[in-house]
Amino acid sequence: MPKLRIIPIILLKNGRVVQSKNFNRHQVLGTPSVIVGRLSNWCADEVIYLDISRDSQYDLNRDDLNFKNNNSILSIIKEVSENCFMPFTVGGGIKTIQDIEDRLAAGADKVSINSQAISDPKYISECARIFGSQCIVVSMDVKKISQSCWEVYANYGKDSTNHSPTELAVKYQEHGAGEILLNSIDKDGAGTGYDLPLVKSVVDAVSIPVIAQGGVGKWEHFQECIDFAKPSAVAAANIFQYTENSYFNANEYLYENSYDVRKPTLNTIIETAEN
Amino acid sequence: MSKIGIINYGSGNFKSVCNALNHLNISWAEITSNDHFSKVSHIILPGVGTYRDCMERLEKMDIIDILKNAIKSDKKYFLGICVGMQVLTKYGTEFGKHEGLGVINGKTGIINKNKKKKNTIPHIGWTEVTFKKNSKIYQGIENNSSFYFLHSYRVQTTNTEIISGTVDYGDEIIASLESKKIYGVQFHPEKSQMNGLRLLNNFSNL
Repeated sequence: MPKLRIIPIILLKNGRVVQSKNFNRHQVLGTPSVIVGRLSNWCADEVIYLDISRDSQYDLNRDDLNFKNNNSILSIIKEVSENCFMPFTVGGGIKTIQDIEDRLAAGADKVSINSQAISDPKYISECARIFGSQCIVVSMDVKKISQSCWEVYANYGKDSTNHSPTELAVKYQEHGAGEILLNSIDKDGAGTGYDLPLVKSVVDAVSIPVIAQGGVGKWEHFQECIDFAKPSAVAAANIFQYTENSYFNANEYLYENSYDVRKPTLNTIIETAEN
Repeated sequence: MSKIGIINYGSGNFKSVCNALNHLNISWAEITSNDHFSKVSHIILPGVGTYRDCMERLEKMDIIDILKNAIKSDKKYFLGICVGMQVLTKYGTEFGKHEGLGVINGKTGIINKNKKKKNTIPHIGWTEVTFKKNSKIYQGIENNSSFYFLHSYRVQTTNTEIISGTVDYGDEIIASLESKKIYGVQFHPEKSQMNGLRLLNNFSNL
């Protein structure tokens, strides 16, 4: 059976890598190319790039920004893929078949679809038919409503949908989604651990892999989530940006605590025919 | 003369395979038509997507006969990755029954669900590969190393001597094949970090 995956998520906003809190506060951390160099040394299981640039950003009399951003997501994918020998998923603003084709052609391995899946679940079936389910990650942004009630929000956590995450997850699975990326809006950037009951409810509702995201402030939070909810993958964004070799350290922490993760490694040079 | 030819039929991982070879300083050429085959000694058929889509695109490029011939005649080394390995079989059942290249005896069907082991479909992630024979492409790689898998369908063959590696995923699933100069891997070496790069390096050194 596959190893439990640990996935760093890189958030991009208008071509910059950012840190996020509650889906609305974003702090710029640097340019993607700086992060790329670090990534290739991490030997991560995979990486997810989410472009969270919002339409509202384009209303700041900055047509150049809008244009630049549209261009840059594809050029970022190209740049990343050249030195990234692990799977990488790209999400954000994907609405058409062409959007996916463009991203895959630029070097992405999988795409993550969010709002378009809510407004048109058949889009997922179409994508799965053309690209295969394994290529289609469907992401959900979820807000806690009460003790045992959650709701999925659309458009970067802005719009209420009246759908529960388990209901949508099952629907997405039926339409051919390959994986569910589950984000907690409340836990985003909080550093207080995952929304454990939420993760568990979705993991239990579907048979496809679920990637838990949102809330990791220390490595123990991974452990907590794995023990309680048993997701196929645990993801985190902000925490991986703080220190050098943070991914290696997270990997090592879980490995040494006997979790079934890949043996932690750092990049080594392979002797090729030429040298 | 470039040694390695990578067939570009619009497969998602074409560029990833190119990037991996570039990183290893291995020169390669793109194969998009019949006359490109004579220039290479090794062929890589990458694959992400469905069996049907892969076959349809190869057909559109009109390279099926020459590709089959190149593989069967034992003149060139061949490496099929994921769907690129699956289409070596006689047929696949993804989105209806579709004819494959038929150069190895076998078929491609959906992964069995095993309730006890709770395997999910697709099989996504890093899984340990158990080597079944001393394959040249595994040189320098430890047995039971993890490789990255991403698939819902798998190759089945009664010809067990061509199986070079397996994974435990509900059933024992074929992870790699080797038959004379034909190699196939169900996982993605171009996405399997160091071990994957090593494997591609080994293939290019054949």
